[in-house]
Amino acid sequence: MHSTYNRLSTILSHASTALMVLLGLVAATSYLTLPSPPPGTVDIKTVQVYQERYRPNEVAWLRFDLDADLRPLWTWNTKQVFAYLVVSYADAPNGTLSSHAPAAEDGLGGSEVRKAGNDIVAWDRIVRRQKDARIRIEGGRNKYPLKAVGKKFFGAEPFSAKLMYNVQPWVGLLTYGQAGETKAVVEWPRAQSAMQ
Amino acid sequence: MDTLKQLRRMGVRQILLQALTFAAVLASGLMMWKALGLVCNTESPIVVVLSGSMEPAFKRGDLLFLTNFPNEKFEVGDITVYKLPHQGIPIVHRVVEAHDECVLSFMQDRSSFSSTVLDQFLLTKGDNNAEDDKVLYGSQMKWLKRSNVIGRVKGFLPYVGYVTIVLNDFPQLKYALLGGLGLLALIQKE
Repeated sequence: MHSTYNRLSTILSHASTALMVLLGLVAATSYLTLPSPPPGTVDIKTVQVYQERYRPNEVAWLRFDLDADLRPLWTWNTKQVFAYLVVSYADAPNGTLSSHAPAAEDGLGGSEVRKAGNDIVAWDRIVRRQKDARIRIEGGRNKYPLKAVGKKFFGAEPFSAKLMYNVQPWVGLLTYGQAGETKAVVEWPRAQSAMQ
Repeated sequence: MDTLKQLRRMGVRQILLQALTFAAVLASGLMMWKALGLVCNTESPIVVVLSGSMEPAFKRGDLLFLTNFPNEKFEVGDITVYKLPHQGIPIVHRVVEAHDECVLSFMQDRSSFSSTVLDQFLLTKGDNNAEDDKVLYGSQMKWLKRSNVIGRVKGFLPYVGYVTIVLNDFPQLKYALLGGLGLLALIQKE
């Protein structure tokens, strides 16, 4: 009845159940008590657009200031925070990616316009320690070149930029939030003569 | 010898009953997996991380829980698990570019319009990689489409998936474990 095997399996199953319940509680409590950081600032200082050599599309380079305090995001269940700057803009109508038919009247007098919304990560940082979570950047440059999928930036709608974060926990649910945004939209300039 | 003797003593009926119990356990496991897949709307609701391209957040052997609801579009920053048509292994990477092709349908008087997303063109990158995944996609594919994505990572549980990596690396261990469990289920009297 009470063989070694029985005892061992009872202990193991009890221990793993207890562990799972504990992890579930940790995940639930940290999700219910999510902290939010104070609003930071994102400032776009300069925008330069170049025509890529040998390629049809344009590339944009930014200079930006970031100021955000992500330290409140650190709780006992925060493994790391992934902070990233997203540039968002809409292409000019019908200047889109795929080869769908252009705008058409639908017979009822209404009309359709095809449009592409673009979100591009321009800069990111993995923050692993709370003391590194005070983000203050002046005159930062995008880590990744912004490539215009609609070939050109000029003519597209003005862009905005926002600083986002993703909290990655030791166990549990991944959470996202915003830590700052540009105050006004920024116009795309014309491409400068080729460089590089 | 002992086990054989025990088997003979149990009789055919008992053995069949035990086999049925074992099959029921397997079937209920499969049912739970499929039900979870149905709820999360994805072919595999739980995946094991196989590479270090998302380190230090996700290491080899960590478990990820996925959802793939049709009305939720993918946003930059989302961590997706995708499978390329020419490659069997699912890849866990973050979306760094999302280009949504929308169609705006204007009402007759142009006073209002509704917007629907036709398709999404995504670019992904591993947090631990210097370059984005354009090279992975190959020359055939410029962008990742929604249809390539298995799901978006919602939850995280460390280490637990390492068992499956070990079992895959040492297939003998898998068969030994399966055989042992089967035998145990057969001879154990409950």
